[in-house]
Amino acid sequence: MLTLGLVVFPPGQATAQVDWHLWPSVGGAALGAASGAVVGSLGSILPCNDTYAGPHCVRWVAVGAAVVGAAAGLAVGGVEPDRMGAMAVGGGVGLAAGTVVGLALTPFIERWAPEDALAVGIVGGAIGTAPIGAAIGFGAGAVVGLAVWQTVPGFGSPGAATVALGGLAAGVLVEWVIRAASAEQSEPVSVGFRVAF
Amino acid sequence: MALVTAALSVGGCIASYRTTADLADRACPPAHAAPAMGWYAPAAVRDRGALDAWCAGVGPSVLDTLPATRATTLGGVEALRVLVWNVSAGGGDLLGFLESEAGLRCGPTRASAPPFVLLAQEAYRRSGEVPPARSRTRVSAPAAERERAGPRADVTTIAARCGLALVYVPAVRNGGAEFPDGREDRGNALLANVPLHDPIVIELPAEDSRRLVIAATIRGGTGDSLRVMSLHFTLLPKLWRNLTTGNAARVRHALGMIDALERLEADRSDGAVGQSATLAAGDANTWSDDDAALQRLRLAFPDSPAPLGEGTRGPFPADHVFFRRGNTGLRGGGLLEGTYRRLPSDYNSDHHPLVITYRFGR
Repeated sequence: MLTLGLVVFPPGQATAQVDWHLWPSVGGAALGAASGAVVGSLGSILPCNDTYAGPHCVRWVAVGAAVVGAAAGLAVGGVEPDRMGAMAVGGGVGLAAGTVVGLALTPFIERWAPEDALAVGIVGGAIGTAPIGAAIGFGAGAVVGLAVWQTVPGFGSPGAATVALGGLAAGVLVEWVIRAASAEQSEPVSVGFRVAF
Repeated sequence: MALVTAALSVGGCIASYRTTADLADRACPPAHAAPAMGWYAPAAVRDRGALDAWCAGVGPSVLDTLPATRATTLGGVEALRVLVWNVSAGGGDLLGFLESEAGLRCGPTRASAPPFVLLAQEAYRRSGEVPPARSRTRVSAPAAERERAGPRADVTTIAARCGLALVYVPAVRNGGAEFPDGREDRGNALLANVPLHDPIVIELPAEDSRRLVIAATIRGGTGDSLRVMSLHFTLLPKLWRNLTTGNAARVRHALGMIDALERLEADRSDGAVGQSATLAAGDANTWSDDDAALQRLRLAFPDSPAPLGEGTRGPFPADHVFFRRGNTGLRGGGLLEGTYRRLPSDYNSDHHPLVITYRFGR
């Protein structure tokens, strides 16, 4: 709840009355929810695979990550539409790049279908909305995972992949939250609350 | 975006895994293919259509339930050696494996051996009975085989050469190649030097391709019996399905198998379930001993041996044994302590075999 409060009411904004951009906030919430759900699902598949709940565990994590992403997107879009626009463009670039990669894989993977290429694109889109967090998270996770793999018997390559993908998912979500928490009004704060279209 | 969110948020809902013995609307298997076999298939229409497309590419099942070479203790079987192995089609040296691990001598002069059953996965058959692929037939790529010296004989040839009982049920075509002596399919097999009774096929819910469990019952010398099941689960479904279901494929397979087992027991015992001692084993394609599918199976098979804690496919614990005593009480048999192990040689397959011994009750 603290996290949600932080991203919906960023520091410096909570006590001031601000221009609230309705449609960018709606779009930001949708983009944040989708991005959160995708990385939540991607990051939880391996660790949840080792629980009795299995796929249900993945769903719970995906829903939780979607809620965090939606709250962050709501705040970014509502307060700073330009930043939201940049994140959406990044998501679009990621979607396109991922889809191209997915299509390029088609000849090499048995039973690889167009929806699988689209799935790669969707993952690319989720990463594209927060590429810095994704890169830092994945890099840190990969380093830690590899180190533990090499030093702890029984950890194995699946453990390393779990940490790396978990790092990626966490990195994307953290970047969303940071962007929401640091969102600033680009124009002077107006008196009174009004909805901008 | 809303669609993506919705799809992923409902991901993790496990699609239907219920099974039925009603095959009335199935194009495959044809009714005449194996009239002596019990057959359970997914009830969901979506699954049945997908499985039909794979099934259309395979030949008929093989049922040869009486071995030509009987076990050394025929008539008074007390202990049964259970071997479990993914033979990797023609890659694994099945003949060498049987001679080394089961003590058989195959060929013109055969030798009896202690009672055993092999629960095999990815066994292949080459035959003119495997039909040509039609436009809607799904054809799997051939199983990846390691090169090896010696002849590459199929499971029906080896069973005949060794005088073994054989239940072979193909799951998919093993590549689209045409050979002078036919085409190839691959699937699950039971090979034994004891009679195999009440053969049963369970088609698992459609995920990446068609996967099966096949079962048969082996009777001990004192009236006790053991149902053995050779299972083969999926490795990874397609990426889209994996993301949108939360990696539910193997859990669906495990639940489908358990559901079919309950139905077939109810069908055979006036509604009561859990009657017979049952050993299910095979290639679950897991990369962890804690896989969600394995946890579900251990609940259904509460007398299962503890995981070995070592890889059977490279570093991954892909192959497992599950067991439940059933309602046989103190007179029922059980697994012999200390007999469950991974064999050191992979016999040129990409999987190491497992072995365990069952002692029949009195």
